[in-house]
Amino acid sequence: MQFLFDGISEAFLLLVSGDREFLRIVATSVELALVSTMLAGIGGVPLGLFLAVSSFRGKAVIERMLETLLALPTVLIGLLGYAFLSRQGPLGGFSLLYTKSAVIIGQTALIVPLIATMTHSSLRMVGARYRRAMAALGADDLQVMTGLLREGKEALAAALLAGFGRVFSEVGIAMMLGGNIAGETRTITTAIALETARGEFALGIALGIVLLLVSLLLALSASFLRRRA
Amino acid sequence: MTALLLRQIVRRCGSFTLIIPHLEVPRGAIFGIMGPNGAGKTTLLSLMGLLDLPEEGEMTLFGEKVSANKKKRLVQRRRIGFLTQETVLFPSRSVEENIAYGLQVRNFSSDEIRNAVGSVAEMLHLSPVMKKRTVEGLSGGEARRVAFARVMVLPADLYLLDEPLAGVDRESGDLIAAAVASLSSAGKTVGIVSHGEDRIVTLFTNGIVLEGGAIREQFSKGETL
Repeated sequence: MQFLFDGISEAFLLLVSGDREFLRIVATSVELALVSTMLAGIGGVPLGLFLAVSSFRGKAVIERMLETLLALPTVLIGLLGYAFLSRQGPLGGFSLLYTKSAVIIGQTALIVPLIATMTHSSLRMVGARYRRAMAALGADDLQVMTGLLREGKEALAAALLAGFGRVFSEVGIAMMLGGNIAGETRTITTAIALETARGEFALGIALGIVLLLVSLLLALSASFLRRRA
Repeated sequence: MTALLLRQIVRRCGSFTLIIPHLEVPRGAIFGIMGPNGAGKTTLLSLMGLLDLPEEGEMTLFGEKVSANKKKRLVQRRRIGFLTQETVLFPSRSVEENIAYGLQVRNFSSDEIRNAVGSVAEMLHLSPVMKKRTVEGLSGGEARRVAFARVMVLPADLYLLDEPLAGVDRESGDLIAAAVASLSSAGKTVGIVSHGEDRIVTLFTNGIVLEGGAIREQFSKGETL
């Protein structure tokens, strides 16, 4: 057990000393998660909104597909991403494999269904109350949609937070598409995996503490937003 | 002159069917729609407000056939002010912004909106709550008056009100009833779903009683219901 206590005390030293490698790993994780969440928001929010306000043949099929994709393992997305981005793959010419862009593509694909589904379910609830009132006051379809986004903004923020949390803590895509390259694509989760394999617990524990703190912050924010919504 | 004409209308909602062979709402009327719960009053008002379309039949609004085309129907819909049965205010907006909503979506200028909202707020005694940044905390009567003000402020030709006095206190009810009378004095056509509140029923110039999705009787002012 001594190695564990040593690891924890060294981890706290790393946390307070502002170790360069440690900070770079945290910054990479935050950057990748932010960009992925932003891109997934651009795709997922309109998709969820469209599903919430429209009715068309095949809508239920799309809803079931999105729900199925929620449970997709990250390693499967990593595998598919690898197949597409590797030299022999259809997108191999872009040389994206083992770059931040590859991780962002994979992580975006991971959380688009999550953000779309959460947006859809929250706006469907909000929409049931507000859509008719807005239409009755003369709003057109676009105005109804923007009005719903405004009334459901806390729920939307919660969906984006959930997406951020999902990609911030995932390891499969970051490892398989990013390659865990130091100073480039090494994230908190891939670094923890590596340090554990090497038997170097201090950095792993320090990064684990950051991961826990971020998760706690996200959970508190989501709870606050749920109460407001 | 007819404000609204419905012919051979059939509207199905699940197991319920509303059938209106012929209904005319004269221009300038305060037209009452009465009847027991489940008679089809709100279904009919939604059709009259062009919020829903019937499965069969045709409607004419101020001499113009109601279009199946969404864009054309929006133009027609904007000639109507519609108060929904449920008081649904927008929590992300202030009281003033709530009242201004219908004018904003019609792209009125901010000066026009400020003037129109101010005068309606004064008429409905809403000035004291106008500066509230949120609609939370309004009493039931205040909330209904805000919802009514949101409709009254619209430059419509036809106002359709679904139980405007439902669940309001005496003062709010008096203010809303007076505002309905003022709409009529200004030559506007008003359609009202009511369960029979005296303050509203006495304003009716004519109307219908619905039962089981059909018109049971038609009445005009002076007739005993």
